[in-house]
Amino acid sequence: MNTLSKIVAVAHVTVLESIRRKDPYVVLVLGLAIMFGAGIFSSFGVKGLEKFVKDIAFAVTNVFACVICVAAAARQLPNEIENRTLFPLIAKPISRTAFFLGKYLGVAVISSLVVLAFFVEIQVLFWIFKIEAGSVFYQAVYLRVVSMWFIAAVSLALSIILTQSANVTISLLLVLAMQTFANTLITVHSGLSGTGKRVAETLYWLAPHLELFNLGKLVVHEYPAVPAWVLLALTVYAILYSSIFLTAACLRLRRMPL
Amino acid sequence: MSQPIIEIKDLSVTYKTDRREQIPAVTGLSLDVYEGEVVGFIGPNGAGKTTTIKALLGFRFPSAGSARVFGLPAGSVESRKRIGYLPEVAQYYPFLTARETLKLYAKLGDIPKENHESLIDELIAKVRLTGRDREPLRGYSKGMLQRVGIAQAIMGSPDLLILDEVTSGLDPVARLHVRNLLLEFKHKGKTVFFSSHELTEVTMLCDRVVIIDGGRVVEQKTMADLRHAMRTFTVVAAGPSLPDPLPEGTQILNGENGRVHYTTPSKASCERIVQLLKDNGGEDLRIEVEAGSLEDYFVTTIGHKVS
Repeated sequence: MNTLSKIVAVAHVTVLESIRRKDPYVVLVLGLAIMFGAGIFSSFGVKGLEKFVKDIAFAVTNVFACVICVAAAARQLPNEIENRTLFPLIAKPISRTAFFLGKYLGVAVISSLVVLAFFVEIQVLFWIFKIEAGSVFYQAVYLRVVSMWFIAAVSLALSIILTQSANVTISLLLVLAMQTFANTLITVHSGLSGTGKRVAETLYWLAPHLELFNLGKLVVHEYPAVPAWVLLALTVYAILYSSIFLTAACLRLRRMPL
Repeated sequence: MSQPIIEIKDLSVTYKTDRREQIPAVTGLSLDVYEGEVVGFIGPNGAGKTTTIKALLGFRFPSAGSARVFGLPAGSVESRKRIGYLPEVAQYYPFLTARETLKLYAKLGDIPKENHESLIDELIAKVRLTGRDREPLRGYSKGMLQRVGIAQAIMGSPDLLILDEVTSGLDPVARLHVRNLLLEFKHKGKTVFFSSHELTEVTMLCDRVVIIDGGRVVEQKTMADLRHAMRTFTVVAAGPSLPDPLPEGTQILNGENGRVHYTTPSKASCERIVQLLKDNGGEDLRIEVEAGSLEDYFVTTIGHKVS
């Protein structure tokens, strides 16, 4: 049995856990209720309410998918250690790195599935209320999935040094910061000069830009599809940033006494 | 003697407190376990048994000294391929069934995929979970969970079994069953290293006993030597009481018909008492030799070393 099969085995259990805990169902039902509520408004025939429905749908998806992703990632290692389920598992011939990557893969898969389920809900909603969405809609779905891989990496990496509750809070704040940081920094940057300006520029290039993965506004305002190279570049960007967090976490985990 | 399977040399392991203080859990512990041996690792709570076992599996790292298993650094993936491990408190994913749990362990344990189903059937029958194997573990009792743990530990017939409190939480019938499983392992020539508070089990299963306290080995003996050391000698005699001082550790009990029982832990003391009785007019002398219990021996040993 090679390492990849072991990673997949751990990932499979992680996905099963989420499904059997029924967390995603609760969020999907809640999300559907909110989006359906918004959809009812559009059925009154008021012009422009379609955009409102699309906006609500994307906002709900964004928030709930992030919550599910962070909650799933944050509990993995602290729970394993606290409940002592980790010990018999890593006594088997699996490296800590492989175990961790299995956890990551599991969280990334469950978060991606939640996003896809949300977008199926949105699609049904659009179909019911006869709302048009162009091909940029599918690009938005894809980038939202990719952004989940990144969020999962950040939150899982933090779970090595933080307790579950602290990690949930900090990860959600980080996600919020990463989605709004760039715009705030651009505003601040225009008022700075000298060293301050250079620091702001360095920060801008170093900090991860989660806002780039949000095509919600393009869908709402019916923009045409973005070029394929943009999607590819953003995918590479997410993989690179995820790798940095995962590598740092694996290095820490390898030396961590359990 | 062959190369040791477990080789611990001057091992020290420390824990870091919240205040970043280093608390020693194991201090300069040295120990070898050879192929085919069944070694009982006993000691009071907090003696360092679990920490030593964790170091052998690579969960904790030595602050000094070394631990090797099968000639490889303790905790290496290669060494773990040949180890079956049962933790002190066996916890498994409550949302999985016993069958799913064992399948996960089979995947992680390098068991060929085509053997999974037959092996799992065999293990489930062996730990007597047939009929309950498709229920989620959240509904299992502590004893049933321990049996799942035993099944995952013996999966693939590992060359070395490391068991931490193997019969903890088991009822007497289940305990007997586990004992038989371990005996089966022993008869196959496998090596077993286990910690236990159940000293009866240790006496029945082990070839050698290692007593640990305060993070150090305070005594290690083969069972033959231990049985010899555990013996107690009682001299029963009629006549006047013996004057003090009596040999160290002698217990006196007044029996029927004016007979006095002098119980002592060593043959030399026994001979000394016989001589004293003869010198002081003791009559109708009788010497009784009893096997003694590991529990008494353990308490005495730990008591002596601590004081």
